[in-house]
Amino acid sequence: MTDEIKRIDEKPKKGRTVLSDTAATTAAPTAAPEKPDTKAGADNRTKPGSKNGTTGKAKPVSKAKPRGGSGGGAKTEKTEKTEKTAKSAKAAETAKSEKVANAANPKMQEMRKTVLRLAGTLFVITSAVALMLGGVNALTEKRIEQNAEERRIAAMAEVLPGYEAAGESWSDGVSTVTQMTLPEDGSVAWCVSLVSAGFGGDIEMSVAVEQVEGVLVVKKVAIVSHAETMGDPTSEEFLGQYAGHPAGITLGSGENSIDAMTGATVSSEAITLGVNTALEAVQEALALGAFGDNGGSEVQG
Amino acid sequence: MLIRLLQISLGAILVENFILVKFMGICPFLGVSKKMDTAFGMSMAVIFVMTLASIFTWMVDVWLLRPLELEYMQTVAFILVIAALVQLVEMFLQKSVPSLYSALGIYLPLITTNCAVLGVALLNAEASYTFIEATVSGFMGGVGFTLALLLFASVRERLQFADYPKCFEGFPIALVSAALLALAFMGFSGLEVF
Amino acid sequence: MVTQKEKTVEKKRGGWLRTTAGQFADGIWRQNPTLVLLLGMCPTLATTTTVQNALGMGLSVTAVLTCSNLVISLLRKLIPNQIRIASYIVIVAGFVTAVDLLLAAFVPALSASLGIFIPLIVVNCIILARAESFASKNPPLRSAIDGVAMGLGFTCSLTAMSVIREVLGSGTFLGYDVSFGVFEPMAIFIMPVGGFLTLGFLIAAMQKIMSRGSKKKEAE
Repeated sequence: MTDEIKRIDEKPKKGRTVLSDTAATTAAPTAAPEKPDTKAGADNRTKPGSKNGTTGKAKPVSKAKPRGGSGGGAKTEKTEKTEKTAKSAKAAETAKSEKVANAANPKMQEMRKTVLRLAGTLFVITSAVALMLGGVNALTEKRIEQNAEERRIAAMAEVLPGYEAAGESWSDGVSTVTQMTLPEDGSVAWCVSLVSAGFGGDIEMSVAVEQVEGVLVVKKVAIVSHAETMGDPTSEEFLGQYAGHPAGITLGSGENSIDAMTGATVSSEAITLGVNTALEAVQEALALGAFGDNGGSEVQG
Repeated sequence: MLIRLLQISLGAILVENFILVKFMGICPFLGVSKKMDTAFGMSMAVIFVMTLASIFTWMVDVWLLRPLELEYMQTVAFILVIAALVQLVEMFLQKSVPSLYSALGIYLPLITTNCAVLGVALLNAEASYTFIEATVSGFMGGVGFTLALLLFASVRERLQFADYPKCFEGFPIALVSAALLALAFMGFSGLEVF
Repeated sequence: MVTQKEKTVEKKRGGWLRTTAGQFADGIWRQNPTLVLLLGMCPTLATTTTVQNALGMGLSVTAVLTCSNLVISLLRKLIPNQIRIASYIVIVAGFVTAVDLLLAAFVPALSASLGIFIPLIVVNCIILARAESFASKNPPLRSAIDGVAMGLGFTCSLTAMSVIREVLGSGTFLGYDVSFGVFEPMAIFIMPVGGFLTLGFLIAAMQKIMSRGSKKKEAE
């Protein structure tokens, strides 16, 4: 009882008092019996005894933790997370020990100082690392973008040599379609780049599509990268088969079919799936009018 | 949508199993698989952490890193999220299931350095999954991990009765057994039920 | 651990070079991180399908290991004990991302083929283990040397594995055909199966050699 009275006389500690309401609801069970006493007699602001204050501070902050941040750098959130776990662990400990002993303030202050020191150090380290990375990123950003651009152009040039890109690429998340024109005679074709799941990993491919007599057909297929182990997916013998086929290519026998690579059925199916997807993507892009009015409105798949 | 989720699940469990195909999570795979019950406890913890890690790293990535164009901070941010998460799981287990906590011992904090957990977070970010897709991917990745781990543990338990050269004791014979498991899982490649 | 007294004794015996040599011998052979300490299995299995990948990965890990060992050793008296693991992780993650960005900018082909395993260097057990057991207790120069030595050991074991896997599995070495039409490459070696098998046999061979060495010592 004397403790409460003592605390009423003290100046309210900054930072802890604001959360006194939440402290009342979220304080550790040991603090509960004190609630009615303090509320009855004291000013709400001075109510939080040290342990309420600590748990009060830790709890609402820890609620915010899983939500990530609302602005502020990633580093602040991350350091606060570790800080919070340390804090709430320490706070729980402190609450229990202070129920027995009564020397609340100096021990608690020391605890707070340690926690702040820990959190501060981690924050400083994380900020230093983030700064260093920001610098490296600034150095390498352009180069990385250039590399990606060069790869794209090289992939397009392989299937449509001599063509130039006309306008922005369209993407549906899986395939990226770029309309290209041949400067000499203005003929139009589309280059589609996509990734198909093969036997040993991803197969990155470029498919050139053109319109022949109102129907979208394959012009050429090129494999940019693959990790297949059987057969040679890049062989002209296999890939050359696709030229001239419209959408809905199958393997084996049938009207719109080609031969699979012997011993590499999975790879062949993966590439065929990629080519079919490419053809469908171009059709969808045109149907959506992605390339203006150039390129045909009377296109059948 | 459901088809896509089923595709992700099948991929994560069988076709692109994290341990036997992607080679992520080998350390706990070899370290905790000597006995079935520790293996089981570990895999439950891993499923839990992998799912939660997928959720929180998705949030950090989509709500924080991408809008601020800080994608290059992905590795740092993700690993901090995972470290904090594992710390929480540890505290939670210590209070609620102390028997499991003591059984797992050192292996619990080691989940932080489990390639599979950081791996699934990075893969989700790379594939730009939606929230549900990312969560399913994380959960199913954990299930695949469990499948491989439990299969392997049951094999390893019997290994002690096997007769093999002395120099193969410990990791080598375990790796050879894992090779046979990987061989079996190769049969799933190209599997496309959905 | 090297104490002040030992250092002066070292200097007198001209032993600094010997200790350094000892560190390298440890890193490459006696305490080879992959084959003896059995750490860092994931990248060992995943990036050894070609010698080029293995070398790239090994050198990246060496770079990260050396830098992080150096920085952690420099800061070892300043980092409070309770947050040391978290701090180490942040520092390592920083260097890994830096290496990742530099590779993507200047060696994009290697970056593409190593893929996700570059960021996964963060959770490579070797780096955290060395930070915890060596760099946090030793002066900066020694720690940096330890980083180089362990990294080299890792690179050596990766290279050994990848030579076996690439030559037998694709019949090439660094991309150049070495099968000379004599033998048909066995694709199984570049698949996960082959990875497990090769690593298992390599560790077994290492254990055999080590045990023979200790048997000799016992006999003496």
